[in-house]
Amino acid sequence: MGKERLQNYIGKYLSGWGLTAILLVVIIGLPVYTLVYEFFASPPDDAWLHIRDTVLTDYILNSLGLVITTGLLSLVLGVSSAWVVSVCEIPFRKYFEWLLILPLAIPTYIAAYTYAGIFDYTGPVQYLFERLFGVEFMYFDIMNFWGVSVIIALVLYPYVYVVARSSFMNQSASLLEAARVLGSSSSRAFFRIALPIGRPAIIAGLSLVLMEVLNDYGAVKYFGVNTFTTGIFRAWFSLGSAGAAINLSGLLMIFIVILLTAERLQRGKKRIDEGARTGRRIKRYKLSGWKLFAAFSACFVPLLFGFIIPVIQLLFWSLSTIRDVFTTDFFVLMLNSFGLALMAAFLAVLFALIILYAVRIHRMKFYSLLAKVAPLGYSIPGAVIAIGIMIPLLTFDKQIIDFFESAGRETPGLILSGTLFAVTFAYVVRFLMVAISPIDAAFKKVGIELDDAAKSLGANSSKTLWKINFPLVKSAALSGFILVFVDILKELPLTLILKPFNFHTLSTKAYQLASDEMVVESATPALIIVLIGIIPIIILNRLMSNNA
Amino acid sequence: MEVLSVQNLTKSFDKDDAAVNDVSLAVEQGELFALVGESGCGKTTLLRLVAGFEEADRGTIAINGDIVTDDGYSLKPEKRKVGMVFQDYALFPHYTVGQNVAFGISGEPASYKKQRVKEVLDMVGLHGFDDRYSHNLSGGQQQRVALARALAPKPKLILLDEPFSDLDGLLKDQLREEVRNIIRRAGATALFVTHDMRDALSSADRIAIMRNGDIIQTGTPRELYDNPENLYVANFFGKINALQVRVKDGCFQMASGCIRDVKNYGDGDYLIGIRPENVEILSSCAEKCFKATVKLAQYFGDHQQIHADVGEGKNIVIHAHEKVLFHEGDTICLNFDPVKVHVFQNAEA
Ligand SMILES: Nc1ncnc2c1ncn2[C@@H]1O[C@H](COP(=O)(O)OP(=O)(O)O)[C@@H](O)[C@H]1O
Ligand SMILES: [Mg+2]
Repeated sequence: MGKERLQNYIGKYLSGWGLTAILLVVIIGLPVYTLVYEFFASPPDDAWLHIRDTVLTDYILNSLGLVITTGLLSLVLGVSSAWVVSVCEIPFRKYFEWLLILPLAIPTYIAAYTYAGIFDYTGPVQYLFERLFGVEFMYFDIMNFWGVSVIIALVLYPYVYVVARSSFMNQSASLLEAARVLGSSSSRAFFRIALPIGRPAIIAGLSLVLMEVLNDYGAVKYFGVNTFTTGIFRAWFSLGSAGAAINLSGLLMIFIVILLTAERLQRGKKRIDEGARTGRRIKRYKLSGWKLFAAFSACFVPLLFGFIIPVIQLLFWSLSTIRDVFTTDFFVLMLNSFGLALMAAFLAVLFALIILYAVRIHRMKFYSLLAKVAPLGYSIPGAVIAIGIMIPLLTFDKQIIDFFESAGRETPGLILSGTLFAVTFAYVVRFLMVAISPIDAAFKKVGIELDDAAKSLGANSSKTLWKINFPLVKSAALSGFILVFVDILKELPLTLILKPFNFHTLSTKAYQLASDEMVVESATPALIIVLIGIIPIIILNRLMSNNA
Repeated sequence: MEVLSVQNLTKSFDKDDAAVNDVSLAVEQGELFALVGESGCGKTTLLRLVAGFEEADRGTIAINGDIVTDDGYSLKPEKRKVGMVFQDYALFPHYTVGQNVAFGISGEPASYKKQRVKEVLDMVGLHGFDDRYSHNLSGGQQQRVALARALAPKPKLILLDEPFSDLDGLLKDQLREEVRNIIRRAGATALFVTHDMRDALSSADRIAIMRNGDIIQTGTPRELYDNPENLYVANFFGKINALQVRVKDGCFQMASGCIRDVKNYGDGDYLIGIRPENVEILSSCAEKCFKATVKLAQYFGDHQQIHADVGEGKNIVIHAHEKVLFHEGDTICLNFDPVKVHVFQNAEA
């Protein structure tokens, strides 16, 4: 029985599932190891010293500034519209409830160059002015820090809106009515009750906005605002300095860790969803006159500028170039994008299932911790992940080439770096969270005693997963799959750094065309990204209304 | 033959005191064995140890003579061939009743599976329920599906965790009887846990009483009722009065009288337990009785429940079946049959 006993002892801590999960998490951590190692180990090079002495202050100030301006703007847009749809009676309120989320479908870089086109010398704003007033419009330059702040906030405020709305709707009617009976005006009830109660959730939503702001490359680059991300690109591509790219990434990560820690601290021990719903809905304020106008505007303005105008502009451009669009090149583009996104989304869901099932089998703190660590890539900007993956892969390829050269053979070229392998892997690292959260929630709803029941009926772990768990989390896995798929389709910075030479996806092509002064031609791929981006919004909205 | 043999089984979670503490028990072939104890005393943990879901710190478990748990060794639950009925049934929600029942029958031809499912469903009285889903069934039906599913692979031993706790009233009484008959008919051996002694009394051949992880006493229902080892065990059979008394001169010394020690316990201090229905109210006081003052009298139709002070501030509860009504302040004469008194040598409260 000695051998059996040993097996038994090991089996408690390790299984095929457990081992696979550990391996996956170890591999997923690759960019982090690179970052930490290189950040502390590699000596500063000339490029870094140059950056440090010239533009670093700019990077820091711009990034910090963007965090503040877009943060404040998103708060104003998101919270005010959420308050109106929650407690006021306005025309089309039911529609606004979900329409207000739509701007999220437009990636920041697409919003940025679409608005740049709208305000361009040859753009519709200019044209309208000349037509209406016969004079040349005083040129309104939006291509600066303030312009990009407003545009980013216009498409990212829904992160705040969604959580604020669910918080306001969940707050019990009696609480707010009590405040009114006690003589509070509606604004007092808002500032003294609704806002303080919703604060932890709203700030959590805000932190998602800020993560996106710090991840953005396309919008700030297009508008000529230098941030950490553009700095990483410059260090990597123009200065050819891995060391400088790493140092910038490291600083950016320190910045992010501080932000996330602050968010954690403000949240305290409170749970994010107050869930204090007491059946009754708030009786909505009936408004009239300027109050109604203001309330309506609070909902209509974000929707108009965050979604309707840019989408109409894209549609317009797309239709004007439709003949040139449907070429074989375009279908190759679609194939690239979809193939890559399908592949990576499948892997992300597979990894999520394996890791979460290992947690379920072993029921130990260690494995729960594993499942908490695995999706952390979501808070690392795409550019940082890309650098963290590129450096070790390049090193590996260089070793192989050196080996072949020293053996006097023909060299095999790049094997891992600059291949689809690298991009796919990076997508999984960055978006695993998006797959894990819905699947984890679904797993938690499946009582653990179902697994025990299956075991007592003679089913091993694989059969239990396949016959019991998987069928019950299938729809969550599908949601996770779609969410990852769409996130990948929209992704820009990571793809730009890691994509193979001469290979393009919808997003990189759209961005390249726009950068090359071909904004009109870039509209069709952009529009496809936006339209597909609407799908997860519908899914998320449904998930939320199911929970409510 | 022993189908289940548990020896010196100990299991503690992170806390200091063990959830299951040095427990030994044996369940014979064909027996229905009940484990009774208050909530949190370790019953579920013991069942889960037997099923293999938890690993023991110490001790051995043998099923059908094969060691399945032993000092660091633990056979996987899926290899133990033990049926289990979970407290909340744990029916697979995405499967029909038939698919649930068929789940555990493996390595058999489809025709056998089909026939066995029918057979077991008939046995539990759910003929024709094959294609229903569990969420359309009543609690009692779900429980019978769970039982059928556990029985289908013909396990040597079947474990049931609080099988009747989610049911109430008449349904519960019926189901107790039914489950007992089903298990008998299936020829299975069963170990079930419950916090309700009535469950055990109505179905079990033998009962073990658990408290804080320990097994205090094992025996047939009759043995436990007649000779409870201590007050804790006696309490499971209903309310019991506990009195600290002294036997002297062949007499139970009460503050206000004496009851003859017919069983000859001999001089000393004892803790005695008297059930309320075994206390007799006499119409007049003779030599062999003691006096008490009524503190509270409640009328319940078929009996009166009287709380009386027997002196030295000690209270006693009596179920009186007399026609005459008692009132607060009445002085009554009491007697009890020393044969019906439980005397606990280990004077433990
Ligand atoms: N998985 C567990 N982790 C920690 N403590 C547990 C666990 N399961 C049970 N316990 C503890 O063990 C004791 C016995 O629990 P249990 O066996 O469920 O009691 P019962 O079924 O008799 O109500 C309780 O104190 C309980 O808190
Ligand atoms: Mg229990």
